[in-house]
Amino acid sequence: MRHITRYGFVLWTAARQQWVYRAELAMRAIQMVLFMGVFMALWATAFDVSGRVKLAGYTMIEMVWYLAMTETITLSSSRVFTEIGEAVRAGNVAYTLTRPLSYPFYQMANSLGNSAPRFLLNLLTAAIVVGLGTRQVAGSLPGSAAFLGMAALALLIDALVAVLIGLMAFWIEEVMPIFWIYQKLLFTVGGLFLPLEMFPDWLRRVAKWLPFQFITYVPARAFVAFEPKFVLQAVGGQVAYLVALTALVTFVWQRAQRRLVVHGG
Amino acid sequence: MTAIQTQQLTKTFVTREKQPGLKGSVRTLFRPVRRETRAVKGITFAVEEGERVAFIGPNGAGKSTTIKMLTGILYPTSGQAQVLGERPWQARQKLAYEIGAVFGQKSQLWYHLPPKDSFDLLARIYELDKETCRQRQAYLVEMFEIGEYLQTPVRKLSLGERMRCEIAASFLHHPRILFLDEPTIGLDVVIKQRIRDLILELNQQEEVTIFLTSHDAGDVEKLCKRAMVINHGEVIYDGRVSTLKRNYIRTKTISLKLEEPWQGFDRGGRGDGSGVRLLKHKGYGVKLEVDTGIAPIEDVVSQLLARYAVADINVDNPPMEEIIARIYEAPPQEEAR
Repeated sequence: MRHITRYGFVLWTAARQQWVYRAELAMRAIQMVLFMGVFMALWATAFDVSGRVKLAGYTMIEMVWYLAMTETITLSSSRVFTEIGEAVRAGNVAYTLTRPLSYPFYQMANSLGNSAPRFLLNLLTAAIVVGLGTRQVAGSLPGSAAFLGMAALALLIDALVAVLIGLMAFWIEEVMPIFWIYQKLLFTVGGLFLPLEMFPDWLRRVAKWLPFQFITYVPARAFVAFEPKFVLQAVGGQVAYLVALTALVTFVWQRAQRRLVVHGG
Repeated sequence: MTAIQTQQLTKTFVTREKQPGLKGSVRTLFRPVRRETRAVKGITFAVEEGERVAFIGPNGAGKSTTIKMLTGILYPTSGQAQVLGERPWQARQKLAYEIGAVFGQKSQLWYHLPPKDSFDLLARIYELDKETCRQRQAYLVEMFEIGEYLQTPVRKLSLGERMRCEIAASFLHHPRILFLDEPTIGLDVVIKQRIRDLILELNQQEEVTIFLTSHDAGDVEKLCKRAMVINHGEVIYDGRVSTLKRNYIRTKTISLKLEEPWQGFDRGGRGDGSGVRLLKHKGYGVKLEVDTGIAPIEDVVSQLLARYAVADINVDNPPMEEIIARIYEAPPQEEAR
């Protein structure tokens, strides 16, 4: 319990520091408005051209709300790897390591503190834009509750991946390319732009087992089409990946610690 | 009780050397050329609790690497070390409650937040209870005179203000050992002096063991009783600072800015006999070296002030590099302590 409060306070401090970046936060909100505006127009055309009411089981309204939710999560995803990389390069990692804390979990808390305020802002912006644009709400009350819970788990998984990418900085100088690969996988097999139902059969079967859809597709899908069975299965998958990634991060950290070189005197 | 003990502590870094050019890059990819750098070569020493020890040496001598092994940040390649009875790299988190560190070239405060927020976070991390934390903060704030900028974001503080906050932050959890790695780097004389006084006061009041590295001979002189000189990863001197001072920090330099042209300076006695040597002079600027064994610095300064109209005067210790170079020329006899 006392550990949770310690890491919780790290999270809280990181979240407060976000206030300094409020100009950047505002830019992100504008970005969200643009994205959602473009996607609403695109999907309206796509549905018009197809002449159908539903595509892969989604109505136009559902599709747009699905996108609002996946965008909310991806635009809130953690960038903590840049901070870890910078700390390794400049040697500030030395200070963090003199604390009675686990380094990767400290960075997890730091990461969640960064993404939580962004998530709330993105969610609010996306909901307002899509709400005004479509004048309809696709989600239900249980769907919204499921989304919030599953999005929280998704952000945890995402933070673990970001810490993992950050720890790579102990081996290689530049970790950004690894993030780009991860990001593109979220865009595609994670179901950011297209829900998994639209994939060809074989690809959907592969994607179902990968961690990426647990970050974007799963919470958004639970929001637009709430089914208790789906939610249970998906949460099970999320928890399984959380456990596996935690083990992996712990293992990689043990390795990283042994090969740490502190730069800069 | 022994605070720090090392036996044959060694750290070797392996770096991959890249050969120049595209051809070199390709060759490095398939046949990497590894180069081993022995940063610390089997050093052995012990520090008692409450001692104030300076760990000095030129750049790249292995000082920081040693500190980082003693704080548990780096794994040694071989050898042993015990800090308060624990192996630092194995009991890093446990030991963290007992030790503090100040790295002069790095920052532990949250850059965009006021120092107060960092203090509060550290209090949580070190699990100080509310009352202890409040008292401790009040005490350190008063001592370091940082009350004024406790609520100012760190990025807006000057280096001197920030460093006082940094050091105060390292004392927050009552460490039994404080490792200071270049704590006064880049600070002006007044702030340096202030920081030394504070560290000294805390050492005396709370018996904190001080383990210091510095390029500043003044830090060493004012703060420490014992000095270990390390060069090329080996301890070449371990003894009292007073001995080091008597033998090697015998000179000070005086930099003058005059309001009239330099016309020489005669204290009586010939050549080096006066204890004052002209290092260089250009226009109204003059630099003198004073052998304090022969000419007390106060005397020289007052004589200079009587002889010339002086716009500015500065008295400095010789840089650490120079002292170490001298130790190298004539290695000292290790004395029994």
